[in-house]
Amino acid sequence: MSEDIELLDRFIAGDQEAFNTLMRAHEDRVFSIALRMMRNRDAALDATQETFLTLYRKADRFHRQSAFSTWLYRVTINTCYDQLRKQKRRRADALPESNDPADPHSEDELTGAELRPDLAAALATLPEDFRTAVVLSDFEGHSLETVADILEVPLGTVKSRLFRGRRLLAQKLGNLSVGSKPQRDEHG
Amino acid sequence: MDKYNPDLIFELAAGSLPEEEARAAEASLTAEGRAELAAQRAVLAAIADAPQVAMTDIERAHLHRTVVAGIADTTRELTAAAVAAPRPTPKGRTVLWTRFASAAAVAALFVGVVAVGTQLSSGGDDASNVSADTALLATTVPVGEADLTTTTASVALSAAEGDGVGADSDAGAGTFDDAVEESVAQLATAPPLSRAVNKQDLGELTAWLLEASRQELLDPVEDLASLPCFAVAAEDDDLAISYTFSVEYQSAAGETLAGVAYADSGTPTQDPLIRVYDLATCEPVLANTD
Repeated sequence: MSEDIELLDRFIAGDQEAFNTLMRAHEDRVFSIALRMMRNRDAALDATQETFLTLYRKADRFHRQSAFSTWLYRVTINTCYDQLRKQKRRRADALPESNDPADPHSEDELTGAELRPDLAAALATLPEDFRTAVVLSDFEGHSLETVADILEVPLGTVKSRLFRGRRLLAQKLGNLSVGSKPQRDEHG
Repeated sequence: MDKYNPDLIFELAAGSLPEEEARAAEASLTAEGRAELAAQRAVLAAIADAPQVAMTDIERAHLHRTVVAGIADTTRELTAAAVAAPRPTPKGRTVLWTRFASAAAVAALFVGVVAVGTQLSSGGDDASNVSADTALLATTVPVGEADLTTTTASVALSAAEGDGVGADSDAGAGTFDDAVEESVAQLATAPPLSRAVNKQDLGELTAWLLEASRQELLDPVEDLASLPCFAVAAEDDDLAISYTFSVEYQSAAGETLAGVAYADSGTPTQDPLIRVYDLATCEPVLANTD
């Protein structure tokens, strides 16, 4: 972490190689998060690119109240949200009046995420908040505290989103009957 | 009454409780609770079995190229904003100017000129493969007032060529010509095209560009905006400039002419877009899309 800060300081002071080093250090993790979120390799690459351009343009907005990586992954998640919303708008604009629900690209996108197809399909159906928590915690292995920092939500909210996200995944994967329901919405 | 406690299920699934406590807690679960715990564990197991995500070498190289191009865009935007900035003489505009100057000062920290040549080696396991294809270059060009003069001169030179970028400049024409010669001399040179330019030349030119990029034969360019016809190329929204090189071509009359080419980095599935402009007039003479 301190190495990241040192690199960031050098970059802000004008050392472009420090930016390159920062990018090299984090690009795989950023891409991995983006791919799980976007479910499409091209879109994940776009999101990764945009994340590092945001770092390039707005590095001075990192206020050092958390680890640099926490801030960078927050930028990644927000970039993915933005791009997912743009995708939805584009699809809505392109929808013919026949209300055809089939997305001809959906299967390619899902298999492109390098997951078991059924797991990828299930992950894709999760609400964004749940998917983000599951991706950051269960796929990427971040601690609950780090996920809470990245998402800027309380720890209990992270637990709740994880619990419910996993629950939905289990239902989609056939490991839990759809009829059963959790007893509480939020964890303490 | 709750059929199960989600917090407890969460902790059991995470394996975060002491063994004894976990065993006792699990034994106390209702049927619904056990089903929920099994479902949560099954999901975690499925996720644990998921393969690691990794960029391919091509994707990594593409990422680096597109970031370089994006940084170049940032540089271009800031340069254009700086050129267009009003002078702070009228009292009523002082605040606006001050605001802009502050933004420019902050932005100056991030203004980079992109060129190709500084190798970006990977920190991953496949470093040797990645580094061969990848170059991310950025050298800092602080935008102080003195540097702004230089930048303005570059843009004004392009304007004098009829590229539509208007700018006031105090720079002399001689300085500008010298700068053009110098900047063109930095460029890699594609093999001369053997006949009057036509679409058939594109395959050869594309192959050369891909190979030159792979072998890092495209030298760093210290100031993209100073290159001839840059402003014309920059107006092409489809073209995120990553590469530039010079190329000779022949007119229909057999005359050998000099061109400057701008290209993007392509995508993993698409060849780069290439635009060639006549060096003297900046008229487009070759493009691989209409």
